[in-house]
Amino acid sequence: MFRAFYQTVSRKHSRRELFNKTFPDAKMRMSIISTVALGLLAVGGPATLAMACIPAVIISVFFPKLKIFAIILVSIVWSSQARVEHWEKIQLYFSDLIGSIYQQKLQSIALFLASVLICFFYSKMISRIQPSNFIRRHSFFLFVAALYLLSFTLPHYGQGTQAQDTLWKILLFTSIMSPFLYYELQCLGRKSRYTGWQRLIFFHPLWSFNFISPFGRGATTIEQVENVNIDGWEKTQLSGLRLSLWSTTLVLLYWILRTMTHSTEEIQDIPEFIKSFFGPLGFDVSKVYTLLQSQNLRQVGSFEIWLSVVFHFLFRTLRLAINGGKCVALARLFGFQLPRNTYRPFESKTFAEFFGRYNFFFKELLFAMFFFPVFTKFRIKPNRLRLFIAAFWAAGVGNFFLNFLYHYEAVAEKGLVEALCLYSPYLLYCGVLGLAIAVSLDGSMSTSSSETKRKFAGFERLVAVVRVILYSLFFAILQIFDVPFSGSLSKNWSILCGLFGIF
Amino acid sequence: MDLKQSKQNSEALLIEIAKLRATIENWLAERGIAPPLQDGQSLFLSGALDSVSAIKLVLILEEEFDLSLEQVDFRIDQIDNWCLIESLVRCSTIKTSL
Repeated sequence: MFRAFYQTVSRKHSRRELFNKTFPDAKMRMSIISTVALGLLAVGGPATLAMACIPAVIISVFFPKLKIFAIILVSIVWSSQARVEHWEKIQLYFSDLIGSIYQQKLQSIALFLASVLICFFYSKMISRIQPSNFIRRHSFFLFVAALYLLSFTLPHYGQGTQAQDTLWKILLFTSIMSPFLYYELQCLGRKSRYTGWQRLIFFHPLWSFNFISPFGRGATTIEQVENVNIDGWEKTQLSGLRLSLWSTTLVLLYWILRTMTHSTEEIQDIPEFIKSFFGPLGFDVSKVYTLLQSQNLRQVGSFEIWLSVVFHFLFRTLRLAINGGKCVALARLFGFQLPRNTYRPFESKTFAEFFGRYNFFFKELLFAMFFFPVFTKFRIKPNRLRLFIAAFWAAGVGNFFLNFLYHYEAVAEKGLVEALCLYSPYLLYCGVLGLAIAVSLDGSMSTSSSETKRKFAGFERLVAVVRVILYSLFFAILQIFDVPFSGSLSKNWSILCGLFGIF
Repeated sequence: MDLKQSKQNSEALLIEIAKLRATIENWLAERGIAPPLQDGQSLFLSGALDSVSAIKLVLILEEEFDLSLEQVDFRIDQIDNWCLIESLVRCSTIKTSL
């Protein structure tokens, strides 16, 4: 076994040496690595982004001073892509006004830049206030409160003047960008090599408008994981290449699973070569995906509901792993050695660990924004109670708050009260999730990392497998309620009962 | 406080700091990162240690070093590397002794 391992390592080493000998210039090697990695990232993602990223990374490698410009360029290209290809809800607003996709892109870029500038100038304004001042200490929540108050004064979207509708759009963009503003406000007054306008890049990640994005954590934070020397950067790029390969593998797996479990109408976006190899298995989960719209659950049956719930969870995990992997791989190509967003969730020992491994950067945001302020502010005894309160505050209340902010278009369309009513299933989801994490976090504290890494044998292994299956099933079932403003609580509840044959 | 006692206190603090460093190195070793711990090595932002380790570290800082983090508007990046942790501990000890 040791000999096999040694041979593998030495072969790997010689491959690397051969690559280094063929391309003795490190910058040339890095350009090749970036091109291959971005080619892989283009699979299952917007090809335009990859096309924009290849020159951007190569320019950054050869002219490090232009790296900031390159990242801003990619951010702008990505923002226009995100609007048209992914973010359908807000896109509806654009299509009301202007039909052409080209103009939609221009408008989305303009709105994106307007929102970035609002956040940027707000942080500049706050930086002039004394750190001990109330406004400085609570600048983020004051900003969000101002955003809310302003939105309450406006009529519903589409019912006011064109100027009011434009204001709505800017508010919606800004509310999505607010977590990045939070990180930037946290970094104010601290030394960083990124100064002035360079800090603009931290207001928006290289990739999507999403909380999973690790970028945007503030200049002084992100620069701690940035490799500026060529050797370190090349190593980081290689880890980015490996992650791109892993993400592409997951994309293929996602396509195969979708092809096997969906009807032909649902898989039109999947390439033909996948469809020709993997036909449908005979059941269609896409039908039961839309359980919330289904009028009679009895016709669907328990088994199909179980299938729907499990596949919904599986597809969601895959999507999260793919998108998070792509984000982090892209960041690594630019030299930021960031950890992965979804990292082996099925190896977790506790539910809190499972949630952390499932969506790492969102968990980090919850920890930074909600957990630590409460945990360090109130020194309640015993520590177990203190942990419970802080964890529930973060995973329950904080989770709800951030998601409500992220889906603020519900308020634009229907007003605050109706939006909150539509959010009632999600409120339940956050409550139960918060409780589960708060209870299991105590278990995580007593579990050492070595135990987590330890290989199980015999009965222990069986227990570990059963435990992970239970966590996964619990989370899968809980996701019945993770449908912000698309269902009513009674409908979600009936799906839960339907799982156990109660109709 | 006489000079001898002050010297003893500073020696005790040095021992405690060394113990803390060993604990962090142990956590890193458990996660497959071999010691020694570099002074500027990112612990939490790089993903080398997780949030549970951050909570454990905060509890150690509070209980062993009598650090009151409620006064400093605590952020995770304030304890992200050994230099920051050590300076936080030393500053707090100096304030306490004054």
